Amino acid sequence: MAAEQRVFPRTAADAARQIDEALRPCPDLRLESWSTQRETGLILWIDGLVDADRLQEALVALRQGGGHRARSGKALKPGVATEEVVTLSAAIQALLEGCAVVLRDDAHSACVWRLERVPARAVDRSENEPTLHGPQEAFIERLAVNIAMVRKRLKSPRLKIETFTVGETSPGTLAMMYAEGVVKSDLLREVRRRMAQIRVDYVADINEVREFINDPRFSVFPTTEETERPDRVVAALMEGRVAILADGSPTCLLVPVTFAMNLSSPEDYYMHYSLALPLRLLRYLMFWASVLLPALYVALLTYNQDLLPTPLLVSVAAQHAGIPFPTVIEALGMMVAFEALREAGTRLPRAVGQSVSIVGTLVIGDAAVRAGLVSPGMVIIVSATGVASFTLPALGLVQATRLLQFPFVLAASLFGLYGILMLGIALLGRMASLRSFGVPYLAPMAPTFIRDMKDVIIRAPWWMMQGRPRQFETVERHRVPPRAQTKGSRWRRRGRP
Amino acid sequence: MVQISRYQLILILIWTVLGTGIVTMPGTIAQFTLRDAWISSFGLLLGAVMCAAIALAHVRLFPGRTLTQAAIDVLGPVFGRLYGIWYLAYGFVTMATVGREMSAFIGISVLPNTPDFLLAAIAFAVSMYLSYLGLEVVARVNEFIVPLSVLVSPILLLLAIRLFDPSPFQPFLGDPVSAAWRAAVVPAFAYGLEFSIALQWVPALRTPRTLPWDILIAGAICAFMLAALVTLTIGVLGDPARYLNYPVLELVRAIRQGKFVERLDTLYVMGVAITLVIKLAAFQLAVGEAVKDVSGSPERTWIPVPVALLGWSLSNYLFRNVFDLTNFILRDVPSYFLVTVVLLPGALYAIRALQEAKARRRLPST
Amino acid sequence: MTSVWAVIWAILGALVDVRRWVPKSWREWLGWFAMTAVAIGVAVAADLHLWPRVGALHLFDLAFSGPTAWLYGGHAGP
Repeated sequence: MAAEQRVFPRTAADAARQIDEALRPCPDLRLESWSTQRETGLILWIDGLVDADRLQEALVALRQGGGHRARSGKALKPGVATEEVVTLSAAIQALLEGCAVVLRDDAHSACVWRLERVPARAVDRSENEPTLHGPQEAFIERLAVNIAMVRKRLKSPRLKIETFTVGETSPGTLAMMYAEGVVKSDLLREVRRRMAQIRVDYVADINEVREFINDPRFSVFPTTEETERPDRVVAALMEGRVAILADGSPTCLLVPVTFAMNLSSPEDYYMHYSLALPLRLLRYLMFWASVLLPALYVALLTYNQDLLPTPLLVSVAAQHAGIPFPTVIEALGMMVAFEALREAGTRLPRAVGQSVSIVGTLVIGDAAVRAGLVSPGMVIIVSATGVASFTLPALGLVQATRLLQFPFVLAASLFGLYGILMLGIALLGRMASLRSFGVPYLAPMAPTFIRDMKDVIIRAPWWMMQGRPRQFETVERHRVPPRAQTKGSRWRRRGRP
Repeated sequence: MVQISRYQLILILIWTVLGTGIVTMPGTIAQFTLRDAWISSFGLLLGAVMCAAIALAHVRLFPGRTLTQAAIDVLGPVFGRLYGIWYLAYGFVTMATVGREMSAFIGISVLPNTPDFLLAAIAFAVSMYLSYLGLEVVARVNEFIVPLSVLVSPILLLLAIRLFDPSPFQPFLGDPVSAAWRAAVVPAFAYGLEFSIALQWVPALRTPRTLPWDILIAGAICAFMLAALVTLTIGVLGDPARYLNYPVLELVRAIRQGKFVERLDTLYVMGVAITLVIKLAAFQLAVGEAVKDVSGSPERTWIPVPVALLGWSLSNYLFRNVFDLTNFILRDVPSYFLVTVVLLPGALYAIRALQEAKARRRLPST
Repeated sequence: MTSVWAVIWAILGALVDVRRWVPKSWREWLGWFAMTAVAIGVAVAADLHLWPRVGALHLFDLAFSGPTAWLYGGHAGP
């Protein structure tokens, strides 16, 4: 590495040899010589990272017009962005990023042509956060494209983007986006401080960033929000939050986040507001069901039978008669089997995965019931728990419920409902103690922010949500100036008969 | 230091007093009077007024100090700490009482085959964890639970009100005043004086000057809720309420709607268990502050474990059965609490006021 | 390089923050020992059914039943 820090040698051939030595073995490194009336040199690039057509055009222009129009390669092709580098390491870095490096004899520097065309997929529909209505685009693995997708929605000079270079072996770019004048300055300072602490050899995915800047380093609950939808990012920026993107990752991190945000879906904002209330209520119910349902079933069967109405109790008890295992073993076994099926369905190729799920749920479940290994009630409960967890919009929360249901089943098997309740209070205490970049995790419910309740369980119509969320302590409290709002309401009042 | 808002403080105080209030207080009141039971519930307000008066003096004379810190300020390190140890004894005995009430109640109503000490151990462990997380977290857990209880309580109320019979209250105000007063002693001097634990949290309050008003608000809310509950219980159960340890449990057992809504008592017991754990956590926080002041330690993270351990041990040892517990609450607690959280702090404030007056008199002469 | 044990210890520490439970100064240790010793003593006494004739509750009764009776207006109990 020490050699690479040196300044350029006198001849282009020497420089090319040193670059080749640094990269060798490197079969995709291409080298071509060029000469004009005044200058000679070499041009280097890495095959596959460079736009070949534009490179050829630039080379032709360099060879043909360089003689009388300019003294160096810098001004030869107006359509190409260029840059001058003075160290070998900078030239190598530029090569690896997909630039062509133009070396000239007797120059002691190199000209970098920004011709990169790094392989990337096209912008596609969001697969992890699908919605029926609203925008459908999702981020891809190229940072520049992702930033552009945010910019095209937020055409304001107040959208600010700061970049950080992270990675010792392979430097990658992270971008921090925020809306100036909306976001709290303390939050920006804190995000910058945490970003500066990231130490990795390379950034494979935004998850590495997340684990470095996360609030409690060990918590099953997601204290950052992950999204692949640019529309969601823009909405978050306008709420006074900060977005973090990484080059190479199709996911954006949003901070801070609260528990309630994990239960709201982008769909809530794209359909009629009256539908959001029942759907959100359902999701809250499903969150607790996905954590507690197997535990409640175990508690009701082993300790608290008195809670069940008699006809239901008789039916459940009859189902369970003849099962050779205690209810808790039956429940744990079924839960593990369900998790295995879920994992198999995710990991296998899509076509096979679906058939595994169907075979697993229908055939194995049915066979297990017929063989008298599990009761039909338990199959229903465990699969209902799985379905409940699928209704949660945030994947991080789904993972949390998958983990949490096991201790609850154990607590139920030891102390029935009392055990579930005690563990539940401890869990609630833990959740209440969490913070995401200074914002209490259970806000706006605990601590209570009455104004922010407009977007927790209910989703108020847009014309009622003129203020930005108080919980993020934004600089600007209103989305539109209050005067305009009163004008509008006055107009509406006058307009009414 | 993380501070709590007025709303959070009022919620903690309400749950702290009503935690055991909704379990035992209706039974205690009904032992003395049925007809005037609803008036006796307002004894709670009397306790709140006494605590508010003490709090008023406290926040004027010792802004930003806990009660035990104030004692050390006034009486010096030795006698101040002696008062601190007296306060600790009060805190531990109260915790033991609450813990035993809880284990007995859960044991009798839901888990009859599980040893009481084990039930208490779990409750103390969970409340220890909450108190370790701090006052603000306990306040947030309260805030989270409030909407649930606001939803559930009116439903239970509506279901029970169909069974209400006003005859136990007739003739109106028919019992002698002395019976109503004797029924009000426990709400006023045992449960009502529990509002005073807020004095241990003065440094953690965002607006300590409003503490007296907050205690009064919490007291008024508690008194009204208790009066409604007592009236409903006696109206539904009638004369048997006099002989029951847990009449509210019987009230909930009486609720039936069609074939499906019945046996709601387990759910009620679980609701009570939540409030009791929060009450235990609140007392552990208050005692923890006292331990911190008495030991002169700047940290409070080491405190919850030994405090919970001792509270749990005492709850198993002090009260062998429910009879011991009820007897203690009826015969000893009212004057014990009166001395500990009203008379002794009152004396402290009087000494402080005298000290300040003396200092003022000396100042112009010099 | 972080060892595996350090990672496990850190996760355990995040779940149950044992390190912060430990007293630091001698005053803290004194308070800790005093409370824990009484707790263990009382627990052992409860386990061995050691209830002295004049127990803590009797002492409370001696000291406070009189004043409480006064609060009741002369006689305690219903």
